[in-house]
Amino acid sequence: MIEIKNLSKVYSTNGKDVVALKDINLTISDGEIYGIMGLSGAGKSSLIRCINMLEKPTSGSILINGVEMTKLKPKELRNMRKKIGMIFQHFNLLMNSTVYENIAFPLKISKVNDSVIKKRVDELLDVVDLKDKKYAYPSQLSGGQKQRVGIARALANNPAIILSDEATSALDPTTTESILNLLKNINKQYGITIVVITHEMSVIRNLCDKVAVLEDGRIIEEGNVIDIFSNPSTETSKRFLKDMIAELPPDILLDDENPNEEILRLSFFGNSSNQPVISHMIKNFDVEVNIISGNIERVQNSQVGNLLIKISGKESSIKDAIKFLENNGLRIEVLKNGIV
Amino acid sequence: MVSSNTLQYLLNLWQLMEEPLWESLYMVFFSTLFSVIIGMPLGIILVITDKGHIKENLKLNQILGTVINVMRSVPFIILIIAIFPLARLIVGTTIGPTAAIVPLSIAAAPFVARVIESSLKEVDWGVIEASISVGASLLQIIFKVMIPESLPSLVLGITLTVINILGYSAMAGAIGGGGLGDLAIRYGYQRFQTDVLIATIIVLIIFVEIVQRIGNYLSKKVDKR
Ligand SMILES: Nc1ncnc2c1ncn2[C@@H]1O[C@H](COP(=O)(O)OP(=O)(O)OP(=O)(O)O)[C@@H](O)[C@H]1O
Ligand SMILES: [Mg+2]
Repeated sequence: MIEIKNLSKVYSTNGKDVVALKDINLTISDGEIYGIMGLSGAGKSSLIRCINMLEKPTSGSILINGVEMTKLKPKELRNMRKKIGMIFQHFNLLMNSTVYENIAFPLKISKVNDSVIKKRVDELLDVVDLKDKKYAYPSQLSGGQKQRVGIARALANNPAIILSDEATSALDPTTTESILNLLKNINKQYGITIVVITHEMSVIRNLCDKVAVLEDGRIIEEGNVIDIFSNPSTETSKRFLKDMIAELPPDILLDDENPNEEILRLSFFGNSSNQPVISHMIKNFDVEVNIISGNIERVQNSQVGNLLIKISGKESSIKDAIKFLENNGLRIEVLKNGIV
Repeated sequence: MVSSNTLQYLLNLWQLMEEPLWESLYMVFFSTLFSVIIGMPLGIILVITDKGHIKENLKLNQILGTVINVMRSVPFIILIIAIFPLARLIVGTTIGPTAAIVPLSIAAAPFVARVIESSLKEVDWGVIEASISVGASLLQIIFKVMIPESLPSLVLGITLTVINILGYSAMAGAIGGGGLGDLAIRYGYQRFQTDVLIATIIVLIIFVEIVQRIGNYLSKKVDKR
């Protein structure tokens, strides 16, 4: 378990202070895939790098399985790091070493004996599906293959945790998908906790159980991916979800003051998408519904649907209809000023 | 047909040059070896004590940098004269190639330090961070990451050092160090035997060419980037 308490990070360069993280509190349970998203400069890298002390926190504490990371002696910290793998956006492989040597590197560092290393590297090559590249050099590999080497290296010491800083940002969508699947399998098979940083919505959607949204060094939203997908409460998360949520075309923008017309965003997930809730609503209440846009996405293993409707009728009927929808497990948002 | 006179002439020339050539090779080899032994740790310290590096120590970095700069700005011939007395202390004599190795090594060490520094600085910081993240210690990072990763550039740097030391060794010859430099001065300069001077220069050119080619070849060979 990773417990981050009141974590702050301030960078001082040339007498100027940059506050990268402010009072972060976060708990990541064992076996979770935890996403951290946010815009550029939000502090994502700073946060993940504090977990293995690549950056020293300015204040606050980081407990990994009860061990206070900020108070470790150098040697203890090095031993702790052996149990925390890390993968990087630009792979950071030893360019003058073969795939084999790159994967063996953490084991050599840990002074594991050679015959054990040989066996372990072969296992890992199998896991990341790179057996035929054992003696290749990184310069002879594609980006996706390089990242597989990076993942194998991170796995070498049987870590309890893997930290991933934009591991797929340098890869094309197909390769990204295969890397995400690999991470997912690793998580399932070995129960390794994975902390993923990304600015790509698809990574969160396809991989993560939970997500925290960072903005200006603060966590502004945190929870299950499904909840946040179906009902983002902050502008940042909404901006991330833009690809899922239709933006209102200007010609259907309406007068916010008019009580007889509203634009609603309905979010439904799980079972509610199988029931004819909307048609029940139209039958039972004296309202008219015009569907503007809609979509359904799979998030993890659930469906998340978003539907934009224009509802018109008497003010009281609209209110009752909204209540009805809420009682049926839908999340409703009344849109103002056409902002989705 | 080459006349027997010409052959005899070349043979004489070779006999004249053979010993100084070996002396030069001996001086260059050991001076390179010792200057690398002294300069390499200094170069490593320059890099790792720099701002934001694995053992940041700006004070040490600055002092070392200044000392190296001062030593490098003293003309070699002055340095060599100043250091020659030290040779008596270390090798028991101040003349001959063995004595010359002492000032040559010391004079070339700051150069080597800078060459090594610039090679090691090329190592991608991301790779160093990756090794920190797997729990590598300071020495492991230096010897298992920084040096192997910069090997091609280190090889070229040492090649450059060898060639530089060859040049220095010719100057050492001027003040009793022996070797080809000594020969060129004694025969070519003092006795006006231009042919010996030219022959020496040709040998030096060939030597430089061979060293550079070997250096380039080895550097390419260890470069898998
Ligand atoms: N080493 C550093 N020295 C000074 N300031 C830094 C340093 N690293 C990060 N910062 C600053 O801290 C803030 C957060 O940076 P961070 O790299 O954590 O953001 P990020 O969310 O990872 O951004 P990106 O998506 O662009 O990678 C930024 O304002 C950045 O300029
Ligand atoms: Mg970042």
